[in-house]
Amino acid sequence: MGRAHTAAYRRFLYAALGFAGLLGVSLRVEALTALALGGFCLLFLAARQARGGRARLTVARDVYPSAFEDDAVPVSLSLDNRSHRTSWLVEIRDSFGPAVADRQALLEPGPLRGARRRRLVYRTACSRPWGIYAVGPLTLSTSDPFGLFHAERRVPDVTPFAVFPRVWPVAGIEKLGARPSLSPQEFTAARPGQSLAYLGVRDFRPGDDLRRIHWPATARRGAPAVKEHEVDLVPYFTLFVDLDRAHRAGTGLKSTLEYLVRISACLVWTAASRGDLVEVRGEGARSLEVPPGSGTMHATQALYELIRVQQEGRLTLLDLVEHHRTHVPAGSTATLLSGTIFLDLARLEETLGALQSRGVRPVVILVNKDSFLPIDRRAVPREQAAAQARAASTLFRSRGVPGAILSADQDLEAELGRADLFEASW
Amino acid sequence: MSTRGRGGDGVSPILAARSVALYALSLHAAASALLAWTAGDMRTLGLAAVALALALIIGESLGGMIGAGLEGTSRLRLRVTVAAAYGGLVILALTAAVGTGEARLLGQEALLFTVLQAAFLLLVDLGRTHLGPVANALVLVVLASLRGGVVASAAVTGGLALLGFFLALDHAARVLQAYPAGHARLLGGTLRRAAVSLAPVVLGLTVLFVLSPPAPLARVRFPAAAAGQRDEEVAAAYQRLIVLALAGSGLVFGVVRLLRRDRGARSPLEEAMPLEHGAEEALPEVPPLAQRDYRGRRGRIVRAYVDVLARAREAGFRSRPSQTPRDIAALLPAPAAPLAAITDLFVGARYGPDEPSEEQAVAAERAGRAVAAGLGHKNRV
Repeated sequence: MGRAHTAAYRRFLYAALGFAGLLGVSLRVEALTALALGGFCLLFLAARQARGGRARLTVARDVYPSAFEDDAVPVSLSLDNRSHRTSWLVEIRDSFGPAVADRQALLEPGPLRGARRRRLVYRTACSRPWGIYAVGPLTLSTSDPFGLFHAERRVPDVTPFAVFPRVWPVAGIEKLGARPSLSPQEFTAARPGQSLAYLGVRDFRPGDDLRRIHWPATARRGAPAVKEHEVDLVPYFTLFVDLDRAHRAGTGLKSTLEYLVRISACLVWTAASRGDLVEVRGEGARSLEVPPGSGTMHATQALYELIRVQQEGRLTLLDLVEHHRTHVPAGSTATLLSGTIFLDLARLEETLGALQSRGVRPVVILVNKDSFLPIDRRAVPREQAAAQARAASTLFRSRGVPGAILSADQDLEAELGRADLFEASW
Repeated sequence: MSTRGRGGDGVSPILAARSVALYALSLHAAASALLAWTAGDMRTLGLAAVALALALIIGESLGGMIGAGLEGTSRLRLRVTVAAAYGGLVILALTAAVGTGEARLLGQEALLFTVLQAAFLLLVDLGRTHLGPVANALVLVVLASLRGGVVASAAVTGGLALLGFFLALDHAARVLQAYPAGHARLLGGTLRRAAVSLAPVVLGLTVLFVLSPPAPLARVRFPAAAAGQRDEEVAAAYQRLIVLALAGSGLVFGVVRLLRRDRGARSPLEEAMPLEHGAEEALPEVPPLAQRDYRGRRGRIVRAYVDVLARAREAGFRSRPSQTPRDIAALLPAPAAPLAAITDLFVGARYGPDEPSEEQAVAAERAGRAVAAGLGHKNRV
């Protein structure tokens, strides 16, 4: 609430009462002197009450530290009155960074009795784009009953809040690759393994677990036989993100960084939500390393790492893949997300071949940086870019690699949702 | 949790009560001045009561229309011009009254400022504050004070009390108007708080006036025929005034509550949020800080650090058990150098193998005092 009017009353009272006091003393009019005296007593009491009201009030915030863009976020506050007096008209200001407004003003009108706590919740929205924002500080404000004096207290409760990019399901990536797991999984293959899916019965071999002896078959055949189960497969998804600073282009929502982060987030979320083990690698200003893991918590961690990346790296995407290629498990899916279409196609072919030879299924997504507003270098002529895109598509087709090329003029949500995303460039 | 936004139905009775307080203040001040310096018959008082009530009702109901037609700069210019002209008029009137000491002139001034009071009430919604009618009411109280006796006592005591009630209701109304509408029931609480705060001042003034009745301005010359009213007549006039004030207040309360619908303005950078309120719960008892027996210089350093933490807690800083001293130092809004010094000394004294030196103990105590003094003065977070 604006303080101007209360300050105006206070200044007026100082002036008017001072004038009345002077007049009373100089003219020897006791009533005027008493008026000034009474008025100043009132101001003194009001100032003391305002300070006293603030002294023993505390507030604390409790908010889940992350959300997606446009999500509604409930923010809980607990207002403690540690004094013995009842509190009224307590104004609280919070600063929720991801919201449009700089500050959120809240009012607890009271009465909040002494030695009591009241829990309050306000709901706001993450209206700003993805990133790390600050929440806080909190400011408590009280005043005397006449509103003449305000007392404020800043509570240094500043916490980071992560806003993740909105994620859309990527329809094009199938359950392409998987690796064996020790834990029972939904996906199995008809090879001997440890799944709960029954495969058959075979002769007992030394070292077999006695608990797996199939007693009916053993009795029928007169020789020990054991049960065999299918092997479990865990879908395994590795994402290599190109954070080379040479591929920066565009600004704000139409920039290569924006596209790379959004596409990465969608890929990670889609893969994680269907149960994949997800791993992310990148080399920006600092290394982007999300070790393999599954589940929502892991995906959240991956998103948290993704929103902190900067396109300030010096390592090319193909070098990055080269460094980590040997650690990508056979049978898994590896997605190469590049910020440019101008990759060295000969080297790309070599990399794709190396991955395929290890049983890894590569997927390539190229973001055409030359379709964005150029920042520090000229955009390549359209004809040259089109020729490169054609060459890349030919390479994908020849190697049987799912690939997609995305440009600034395409709607990312619609493109990623297309079932034929990876066939379009063929 | 229930959603209890503010304003709306909650603010409506407070707005109406504020109008009543303003009306009562205006009527009390005007009647006191009129009783002091004019015949103060029932007809004059009745006329003043009706005129002030009508002016306030019209001002509260239609004042927004006048304000809506004025731009911000025009409004400011108008306010400054009116304030300057009014200030000049007050100075002139008081100088003339005090200088001449003519009771008749004071009577005319009382009448003039009563009319001005009605005018201010008519334009009550024009400014951001209700400073105009409040200032004019105080001028009327000052005029009544010059008369001395019961009139002056009643004018000063009642004026101050009614001013306090008006300010309290005005404050509550403005705060509630600045937030989303809801059903806050604050009228009773606001009146109680104001009454409790005003009681010592009003009682003190009453006792003072009973023990030492105020004398009139010495240089006032009363006409021989009308040497002023006797105290009994003034008391009877005040009794009649109470009846008039009650009737007028009822009218003002009803009409303003029926007609007034507005909300406060807020900076576009700030968003007033509706709140969901949980039930009030008792605060858990804060366990006292564990009193470990640290002796010697080690103990002095640890105690200095614990004192800093206690001071930080008083200032609203909450540390979690998982936070290390260095985590706390990174978050504490205090001068950096002494904070780093006491943190280092504490870590050494609390966890280090060696007994600290006397210099270190003294340095820790000095740094602790510096941090405690500077807590909250530097926003470092």
